Amino acid sequence: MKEEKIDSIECREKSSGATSDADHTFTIGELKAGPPCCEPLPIVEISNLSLAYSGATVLRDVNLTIYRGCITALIGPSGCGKTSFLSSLNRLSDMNPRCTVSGKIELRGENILSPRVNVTALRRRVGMIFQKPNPFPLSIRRNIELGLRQHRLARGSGLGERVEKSLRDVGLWDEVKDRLDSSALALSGGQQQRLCIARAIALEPEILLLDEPCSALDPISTEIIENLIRQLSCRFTVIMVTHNLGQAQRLADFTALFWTCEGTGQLIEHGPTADIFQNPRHGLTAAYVNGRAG
Amino acid sequence: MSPYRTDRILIGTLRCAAVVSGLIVAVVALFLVSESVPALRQIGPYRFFTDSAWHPAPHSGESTFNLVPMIVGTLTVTAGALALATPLGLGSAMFLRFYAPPKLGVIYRKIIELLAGIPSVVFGFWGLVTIVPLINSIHAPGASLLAGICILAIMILPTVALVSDAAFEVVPKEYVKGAAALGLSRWATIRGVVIPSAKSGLFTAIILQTGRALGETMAVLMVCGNVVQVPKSVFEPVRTLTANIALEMAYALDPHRSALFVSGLLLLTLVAGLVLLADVLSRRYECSQ
Repeated sequence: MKEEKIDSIECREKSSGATSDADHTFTIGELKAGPPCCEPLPIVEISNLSLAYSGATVLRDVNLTIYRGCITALIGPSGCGKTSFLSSLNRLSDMNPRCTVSGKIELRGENILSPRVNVTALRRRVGMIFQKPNPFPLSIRRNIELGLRQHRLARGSGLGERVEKSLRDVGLWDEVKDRLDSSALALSGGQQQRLCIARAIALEPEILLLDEPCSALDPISTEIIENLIRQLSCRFTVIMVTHNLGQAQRLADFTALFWTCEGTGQLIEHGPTADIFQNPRHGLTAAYVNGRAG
Repeated sequence: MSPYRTDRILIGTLRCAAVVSGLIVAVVALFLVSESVPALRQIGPYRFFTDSAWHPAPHSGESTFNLVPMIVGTLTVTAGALALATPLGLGSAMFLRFYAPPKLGVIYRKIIELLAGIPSVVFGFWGLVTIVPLINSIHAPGASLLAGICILAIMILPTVALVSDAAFEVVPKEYVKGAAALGLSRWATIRGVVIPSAKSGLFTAIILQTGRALGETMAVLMVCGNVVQVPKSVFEPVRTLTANIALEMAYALDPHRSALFVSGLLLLTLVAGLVLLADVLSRRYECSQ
């Protein structure tokens, strides 16, 4: 009851539009210190993005800019459209025929929602890691090779080199080099997730989408994956959904809070992580990061 | 022992059901063996393969019991039917699961289920009045190995399609999503991810169908011509082991009757071998996971 109350009050406060950030110009202030490779250059610009399933809107009017080489965390309670949002960024939303996406997502100036976009090529540029590690029931080697072959990124002996390189990148090489041809399903959960990251980064994407990448893992594996994400963030732009606020604080340069208002998900506030957690501008953000709502 | 009475009754009932099902197989196998023993004793196992022909009850002279033409007939009809039905069945299952619009998929699946439910004698009858004349117009006499292959292929096709479809259905959605997220094309996803994960189910589909094809009697009997000979081309008539039993059972006396049981035993052994093979293959598949 209490939560609902906070929710309704805060949502109304926002929709009344009294303050300047009630509009879509969210609080992207000055870029604060992150890793040096997090540059203040927009790589993805999302404008008026709405998403509906069978006509029921689950996400409305999202405006958000993602910066190159930075980690952006998407936080918010379950069911507020974070994962749907993520899956529109690589058009995985296409797989659900009932899902319609409108608005604009510009990746380096090109609207990826356009029907002319080559989805296969787009998904090479925008890799995705899922909540539950999902290696294919094939050998470790084959898991990585499939994508490389599809996109003709390597052939012959080049394949082996790319496999080794991507496994080294995720710190898995020494653990698996003697059993590359045995099944990926024999790996532990944390290793499987690293393999999934390896097969995504083998394609040299520009962006990595992570959908709660640690929520199915134990604390030690979580720490390994977190360190890995931190290392990778210089080479890739990372957008991750997380329910773990500590994780967002530890990793993310930017954080965006999503919330369900009147049945549809909306972006409430976006800004440098430190601001979101220490100086939230929206009442809901303050309530959520302090554990009072959500 | 469970403290609940209903549980104990249930367990007892289930045990009985299991024992009865197991016993039936054992009794049939024993019966086949015991009926075959006189022929195996009198004629000996080798003469079934080395005799000059199949003349189990001649008006004069010595009986001969060569089963080889019938074995060849059974194996060629089965192999031909599998060669036709497997790619068609797999293909239609793939279409159903990965390419067909959902509504069409539902209708298509219903049609295939209906096809699977048509009794074999109807297939045989249909084959006799359409396929046999058609083949006859190309090459006489029409009733032939080819006709048998066609009819059998049509008969096992729906089950291959349905069992493969079921095997594709249980491939976890995460695999398909993962493949899509890597930008794999639909065909690369099917070939690289879906088929390998559905392998065990697909093998089972094919092996079960082999068993069914080996055992099919009525339709094959109606279109194959039933001449006891090793066919030199697909247009020549053949007789299968099953047709042989069905045709001669009514008038066979010992040792002819017992020889027919030997061919039944042979069929049972073939099918048992297939079941074992299916088991070994699926186990090997599980190990490789």
